[in-house]
Amino acid sequence: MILPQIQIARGHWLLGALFLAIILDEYLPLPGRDGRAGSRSPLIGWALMIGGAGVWATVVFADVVHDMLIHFLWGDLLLAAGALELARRRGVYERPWLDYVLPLAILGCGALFIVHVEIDPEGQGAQWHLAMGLLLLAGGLLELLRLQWPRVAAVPLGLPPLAAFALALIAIPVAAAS
Amino acid sequence: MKRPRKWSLWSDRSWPRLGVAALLLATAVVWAVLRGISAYDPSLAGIGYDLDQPPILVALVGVWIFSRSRSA
Repeated sequence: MILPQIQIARGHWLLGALFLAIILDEYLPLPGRDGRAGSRSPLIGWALMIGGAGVWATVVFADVVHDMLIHFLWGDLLLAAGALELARRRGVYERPWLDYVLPLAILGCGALFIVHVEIDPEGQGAQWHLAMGLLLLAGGLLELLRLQWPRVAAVPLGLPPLAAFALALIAIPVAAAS
Repeated sequence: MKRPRKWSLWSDRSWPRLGVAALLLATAVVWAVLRGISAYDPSLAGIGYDLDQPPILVALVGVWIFSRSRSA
């Protein structure tokens, strides 16, 4: 079953909005909390896993092998990150390295965007995919740096590129969605 | 006796979320004006299509962040 291009674009818009809600809720400070952490809501874990399931569904609907492979890996990454975040936010699993889960998942998704473009550089939407991959890589790297430098931890360095990525995903033209 | 705290935009940490929510809602309005919004039939799928449009999605995220600006 192959989806029409408009439905593929709709899926991208929806995932972009979900990602925008995740990163804003995670990285914008909440009243009554220190600036380092956002909401620590279990909803973030759920949202990551819902996003993972949405991306993974592309494996079923895609008609291009590399699209199937890359979306499968994206889905796996988001589901794993969502499960770990959910476990931490529920308080059932606490380890210091869990701080790195979200930035590393973002970094991994960015790297997969670049792989996506490298496999099919002439494909429709290659420029969009390249821009979105670079924004995710920048966001993930900046958030990793923030973890290393507690003095700037109050400033969500990765938020601007990650928000730009989400808005690019929401704005992706129908013809560029793949 | 403890006085009830008076809420002020600048005295707590709500303002980044309120600011971003306002920015998203303004973006959604401009986007809707420039791009236009399509209306679909009032079935369940139609309502899904109504909501799954870039300006509407941006506005929904803005409302979500606004609703999350007051809870610690």
